[in-house]
Formats: sequence, C-alpha cells, structure tokens
Amino acid sequence: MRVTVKKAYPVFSWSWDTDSVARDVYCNNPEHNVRPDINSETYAFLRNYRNDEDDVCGICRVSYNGVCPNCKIPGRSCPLVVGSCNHSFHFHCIYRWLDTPTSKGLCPMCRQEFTLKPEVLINEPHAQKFMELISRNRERRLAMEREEQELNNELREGGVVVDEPDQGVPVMQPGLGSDEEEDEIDYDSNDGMRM
Amino acid sequence: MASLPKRIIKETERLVTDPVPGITAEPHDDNLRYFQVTIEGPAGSPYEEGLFQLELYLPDDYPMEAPKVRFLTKIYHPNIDRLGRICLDILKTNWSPALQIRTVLLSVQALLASPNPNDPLANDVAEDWIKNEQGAKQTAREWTQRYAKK
Repeated sequence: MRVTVKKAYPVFSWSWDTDSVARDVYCNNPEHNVRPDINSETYAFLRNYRNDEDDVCGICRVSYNGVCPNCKIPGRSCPLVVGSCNHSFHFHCIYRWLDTPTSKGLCPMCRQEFTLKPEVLINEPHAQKFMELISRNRERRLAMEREEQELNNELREGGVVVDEPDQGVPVMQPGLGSDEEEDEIDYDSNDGMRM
Repeated sequence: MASLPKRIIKETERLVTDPVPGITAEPHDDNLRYFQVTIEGPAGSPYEEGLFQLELYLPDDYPMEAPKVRFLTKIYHPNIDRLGRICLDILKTNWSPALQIRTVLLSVQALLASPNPNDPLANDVAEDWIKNEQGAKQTAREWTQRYAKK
C-alpha cells in the first residue's frame, strides 16, 4: 500500500518551566541543603501526578500557562516570574501587587520580601523593571519609617501636653494585633495557601 | 457593569459547592460583588448558639485590595464597634491577595473565639473586657441571646 501525505497538522504544547516539580521534591526534604538530583523519569512521574490546582497563580488563580485578568494571549505577552522564595506569579499580577502600598514589597504567599529568583531564564527579561520597582518600594518604606520617627520625636518633645489629647482620640485603625491574633492570622493565611 | 474576574467566579462557586462549616456566603442577585454572610458563633465562646449576619463587598481592586466586611447583627465584642466595623489586621495593613473570601471569614470566626481587648476598636467594650472579663462575657452572651438568636 502506498500512502500519500496530503496535509499535516502539527500540534504543539508548551508550558513555563518553573522547575516547580524540583521545588516540591526539595521542600519535602528540608534536611537536604542541596537539591536532590531528579532524573527525567521521576520528573515525568511527578509532573503527571501533580494536581492542576497547584499550578495556578496565587493572585488571580488562573493557571500559570493561562493569562492574568488583563491579558488575552498567553505566553510571552503575559509571562510568569519566579520569586527567590520559589513562589511564582503572572508577571502582571505580582507587579500590580508590589506596586500597592499595602504589599510592603512582600510575597503574597510567604510574606518575605519578593525578589526575582536569580539565574532563572524566564525572569531575565523582567529583571530591570523589577529592580526599579523593588528599589522604589524600599525608598517608600524608608520614607515612611523616617516620617514615623519624626512623628515620635515630635510627640516626645511635646511631652505631656501632646500625649494627653492623643489618648482621647478613639483608635479607629490600631496597629497589628497581639501575638495571639497574629497566630490566628498565620493559621488562616496558611490555609489560604493550601487552597 | 464590568465583567466579573474569573477569580471571583471561582471563589463564589467554591463557597457554594464546598462551604466552610458554620459559615454561609451568598452573592446578591443584582451585584455579584456583594455577599450576604452568616457566621455561627464558635462553640465555647460567648457567641455560641448565635447566628450573626454580615455583609461583604469585593472592591473593584480586589484581590489587590481587601474585601470590606461588616457585622449587621449587633455584637458585644472588643474588636467590633457599634457600626459593625471589624478590627482585624488582614482586612487592613496585613492584607494579601493570596487570602480569599473563605479565609477572611474564617479569620472573622476565629476573632469571635478569641477577642483581643488589647487592640480595641470598641473602647468601652474593651475596657469592660479587661476590668471584668466574666461580666463582659456575660453581657456578650446576653447580646447574643437578644440579637443573634437562630
């Protein structure tokens, strides 16, 4: 029999290489300082058994290979970035978050300062923009600390006269809770991460 | 109205299919960012046996901005004021977009289980709580009976 190929439809699939499988294995072996070597078989095995739910951006909850809420075409126009804390997000999602004053420059998942993981290929095109954002955040934080310091100094210099009316003002936005409250919060935010 | 972000749709679906025990949250028909919430008072707290109504609103910037949550049912609690406003750090300074509606409501439920009079919002209640904890808890129980009865 002779077969003539008249048409061919090549099909491609792609996925961001976040090294996430390796990360999971690493996380399960905290006593190892060096990431255990993973051969391709183990990698493929783990890849198959991974829950798709885990592969979503922690901010918009859309798959890493999908798009952030403001983009239409997945891929290079809506890239993924990996933090040095190993949490990954759509570039636009994490950038928007870090640009808010509430973020204080912290990773939404682990609350460590968010910086791009070095030597990760997909991070390289964005390194410059992130460096600028991070240094802007640091400046903003320093400015806030300075302001707070100045305010404290003023209060101290003002002594009793300033302190008294200050106590009379109802506290509408008190600072962080006590240790007890923070424990609760930690529990809940961990919960959020699992989902 | 602008279309609803996927994340909000997903969260709403999950709240219905896999609800948190003791908590219900239903979006309003006319505004899917506005939720009618009920929270059962935690067992062992002065709010036990109470069913508290709350409202939750997802601002346009959600999840970059925290949801707005307020008690509609009157409650005697040092961190909740007369207008139902809640003093909870994750709703203000410690918000993170990794949190969700369900985790926020769980935190509110946890706040009912462990009031924190040292970081008060309702100053008079907090004072009462510090000076006379048993009495304050009794008042909280009475208010629960009076205003939050199931």
